[in-house]
Amino acid sequence: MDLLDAANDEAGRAETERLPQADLYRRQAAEKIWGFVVSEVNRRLREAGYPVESGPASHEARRKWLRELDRVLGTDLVPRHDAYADLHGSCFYEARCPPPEVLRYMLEGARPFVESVITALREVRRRGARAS
Amino acid sequence: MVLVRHKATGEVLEVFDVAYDDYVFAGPPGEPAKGRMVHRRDLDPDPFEAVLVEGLTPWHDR
Repeated sequence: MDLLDAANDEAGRAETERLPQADLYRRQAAEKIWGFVVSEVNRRLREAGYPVESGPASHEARRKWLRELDRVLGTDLVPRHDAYADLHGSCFYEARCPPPEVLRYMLEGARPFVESVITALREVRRRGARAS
Repeated sequence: MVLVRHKATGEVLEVFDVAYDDYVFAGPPGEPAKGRMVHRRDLDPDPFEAVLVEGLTPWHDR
């Protein structure tokens, strides 16, 4: 079971459990969705030769490269990434979670978002215009 | 790596990240997919104090 599979189970339990347990499941799911996005995007960027060091600086580096991909390709990777970052910051850290349907929408959008990053990396490579 | 023990079950858990309201995201060492929200009062030693002593890089930043 990977992170998104686990998050899917927990998002489902958040929809059926009562408070306060429902909130804890929602936060658990949020943390796993964010962790999936971060680890997958970092991995894809590193594989493509874009340095993303570990530690707190990884957020800045990841966002920088996504911003460059957006600039070169006209994509919307940064706002999509930031929605996941907000899910982490607000829901996990501060217990201010979105409604269940929004969490579900973001859960289902996590793999497509990573696929969009992969597509952008391929496209920028095809054009010979590595983001810098 | 910050390791704590669940007081009720004796399970050894890794602290993956800490939230602002006395909850931590913790689970079997190295397995964040099995992580869960646990209140600090249920863990020994206090995970917030352990993090201050040992330092913590949240799992998704590694």
